[in-house]
Amino acid sequence: MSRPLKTSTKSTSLLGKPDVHLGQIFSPALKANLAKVLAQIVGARYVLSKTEELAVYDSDGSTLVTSRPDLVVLPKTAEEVQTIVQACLKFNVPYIARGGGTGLSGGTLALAGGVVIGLNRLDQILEIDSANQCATVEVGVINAWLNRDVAQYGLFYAPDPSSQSACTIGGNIAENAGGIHCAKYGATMDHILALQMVLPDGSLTWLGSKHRRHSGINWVNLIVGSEGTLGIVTKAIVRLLPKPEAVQVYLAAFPSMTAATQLVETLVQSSLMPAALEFMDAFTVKAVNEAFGVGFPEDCHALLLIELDGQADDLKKRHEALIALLTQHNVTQVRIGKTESERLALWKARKGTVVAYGRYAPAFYLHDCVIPRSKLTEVLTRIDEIAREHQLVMASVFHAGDGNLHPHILFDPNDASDPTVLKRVMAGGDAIVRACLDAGGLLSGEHGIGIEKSAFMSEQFSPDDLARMMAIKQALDPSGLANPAKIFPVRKSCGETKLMLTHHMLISRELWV
Amino acid sequence: MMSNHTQTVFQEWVTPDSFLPQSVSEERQAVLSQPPYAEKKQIAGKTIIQWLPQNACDVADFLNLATQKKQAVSPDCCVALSCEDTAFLGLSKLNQVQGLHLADTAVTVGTGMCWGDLQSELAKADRWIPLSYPPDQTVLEIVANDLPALETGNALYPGGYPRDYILGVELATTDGRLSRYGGLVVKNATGYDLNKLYTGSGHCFGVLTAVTFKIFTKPKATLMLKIPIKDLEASEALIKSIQAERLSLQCFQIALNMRQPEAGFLLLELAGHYPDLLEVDKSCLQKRLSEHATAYDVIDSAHVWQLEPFSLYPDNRLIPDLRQNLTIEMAYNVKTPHDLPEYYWHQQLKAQLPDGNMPCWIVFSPMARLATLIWQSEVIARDYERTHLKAGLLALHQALRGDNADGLPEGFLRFQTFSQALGPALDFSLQQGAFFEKALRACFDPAGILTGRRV
Repeated sequence: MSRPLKTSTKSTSLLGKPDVHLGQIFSPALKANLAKVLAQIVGARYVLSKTEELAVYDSDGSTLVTSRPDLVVLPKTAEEVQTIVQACLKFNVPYIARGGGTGLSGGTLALAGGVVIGLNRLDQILEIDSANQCATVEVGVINAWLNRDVAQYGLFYAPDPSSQSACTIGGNIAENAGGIHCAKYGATMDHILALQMVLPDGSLTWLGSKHRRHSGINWVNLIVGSEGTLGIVTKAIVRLLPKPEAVQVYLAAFPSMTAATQLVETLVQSSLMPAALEFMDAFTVKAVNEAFGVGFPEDCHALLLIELDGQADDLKKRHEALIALLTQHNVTQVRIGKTESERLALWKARKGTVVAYGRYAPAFYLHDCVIPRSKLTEVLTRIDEIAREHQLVMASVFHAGDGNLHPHILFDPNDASDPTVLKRVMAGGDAIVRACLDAGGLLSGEHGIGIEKSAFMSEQFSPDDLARMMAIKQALDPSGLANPAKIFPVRKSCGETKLMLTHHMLISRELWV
Repeated sequence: MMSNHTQTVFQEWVTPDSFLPQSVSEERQAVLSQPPYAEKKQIAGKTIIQWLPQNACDVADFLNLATQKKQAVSPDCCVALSCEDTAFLGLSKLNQVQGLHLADTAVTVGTGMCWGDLQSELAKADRWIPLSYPPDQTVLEIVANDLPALETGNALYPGGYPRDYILGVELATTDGRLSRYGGLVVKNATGYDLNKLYTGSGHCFGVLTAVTFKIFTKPKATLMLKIPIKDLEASEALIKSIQAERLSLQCFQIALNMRQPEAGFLLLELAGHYPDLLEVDKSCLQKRLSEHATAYDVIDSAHVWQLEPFSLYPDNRLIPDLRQNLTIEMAYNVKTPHDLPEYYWHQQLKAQLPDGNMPCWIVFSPMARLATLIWQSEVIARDYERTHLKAGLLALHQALRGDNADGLPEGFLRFQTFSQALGPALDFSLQQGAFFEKALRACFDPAGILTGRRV
């Protein structure tokens, strides 16, 4: 059946015609009927339709773009998710899966209206198979809960995004999330063995198995990072790793950004294989000192956090080699976190940087480009120039070991004395992305494309490659209802798409924090 | 039915023109039909066409031409079940290192290059990819089939498959285009991961023409040992004691000859960047071996491929008499009544061997939790259904599934044997996998000219 649509007041585009992509809403009758059906599946308590209930689902972690779903439903089982998808198919209504809502690319926004399926109640760790070093979990399990529970077996789950105390395994799978230990252990893709998922045709199936060998095509790896556009994952078998025998974290301060990036280049080519290799600029060092009182050296221009792990004897050898390298690269100060509490204190400051930035500005725009590591110095220098050109406050903390940049543009959208700030933020952001693409980089290392970077997809991919990727979506989701209008540009001209998004941001400005 | 949202998206991007091949001009066709681009060869009494593209664009043109002519085409490393109507693409000219990027720890290489040549080139820069295969196996065979390597990683960083090390791919598609994904970056959350989709897809979406691998500093010291064992039961204590040590093993294989138990052996390789630490590991290992009164030989890892059973590893290239080795890989990390899962599979397989005298080995990789059963058969591949090979497969399949699988096509049988029939831990939906594959093949190869793995 076709769904009667009406256009919301906030969906008139700058192009002067009704925009069918943004802000579609249900007719009241359809909404009431669908809510009734969903209530039969999960119980009325778990269907949200009131404005104040839906407001929570307006945005993800970024708040740059907001869009309110028509309904939210909170299933408890995979079978309920399946029935919900079948209902959405029947009503021809888009559906969007959502985990912890900590995403930073707008991947879980109901941009085209529809039903948000909150998976937080699928929160059980079903099995920890220590012999085979894997665990079967429901996707609403919080990343940190899993690590807490598997620690007693001497195991750990490697992907550790900064939001790991709130983000879910399902969200990590959707975005192929990374974290500080990606440098050695890889992103979520490398740690998912099997998935149970509801496919866009409403069927429930498993892909993959407990072992790493996949004969033929590895469908699991196609689903990881597909941002819910190819179906909804409900359970996962994740790979666990034995905790390393010994771990040491080094905080190294440098007299210049270049000295730090040159060490990064040397380190990634060496046999030291750091488990983590993180960069902080001088602004960030000052911010975390003020926020957490960690006493990082403020007279430096850049700081690296380096973690080595492995067998104790091996670590001693690598410690000596690392100290020698640090000396060669003019490090001004080294602090070593040997005990667990010392290490945790260092990482707590790293993971809390966004909180620390809050002391300077009420909003930020965060990019996630990944570049070849040989281009770190060149691109960071260019980003500094961009900040000056656009008169922006920019702070940088990022995963240097894998070239995954995270420049934060800090700003106040409600500053009446600076009416052009939003335009400058967008222009500066665009310039950063272009600088990364020009350096042979890619749009996203771990946050996904969502809606935030979809307009740039046509700059990274040729029309043929993009069309092929979209054909995969079309082949597996012919109804187009699984998280529509994500990843791919909705208009042929990326400029046109960006214009729409900018407009959308402008009109939802009053919702910003 | 496509929703309004998607219709609007796709009507601007995915038009029928997107996948229609751009026609190959008559002049170009004439060039491609002559040497050095095309040759006719006699193989096993049959005449086959061999296409010899000189670069990646030629590969794309040949696929485009094949689409226009509805000509079945296959890379010549594929087993050809029916070779009479198939043109074979020989990629031997795509055998160059296209870029060695030390600062980005990456190498880009043409897929016609042999693995041994690639590793030799990397060794000049003190680098390697931690995957070992027979030196004459091509990058194309290895990546398109995602072949498991001799190395099985270590406890902390399991590797052992090409997909663990691939950063970028270039794929020639049937519409005459080159599709590229990834590059020199080591992390990627941009759209669907086509690197992983193409790796292991067995040429069913196109033909890989170049691959970018992540590279590593070569270990400063390695030591490979071959340790004879009589059979698994007698060696259980030794294997357990080795597994219990925290040795820097990068290869740990248990090779059992199913017909001559006394020919079995363990293959261990220690590797590290600090020779003195490797000596410590070696002493520890020697102590364990002496406790079990077990001798060993130090062997040159370059000669591993001359050892049975590794010399019997699948050789799927088009060879003159189309002899075929058959390899079945089984993941065995199902829960078993025994501490050593190898023991369970050994017992199962011993009881189900087909009749005949052909060599038959089972190789266990404890760290990768993979069992590989290797037969060598002197049958012509296209006649395999009438041979004892088929009977052997069916016997194995029945043993593992407990039902009668007779009548199933070979591909289906292998698929089930690999992925579904091996115990309660493997809950893979065969039908769904086939649905996915069919749907995507229709996008990538609408004319159905690629004779890679069939659904």
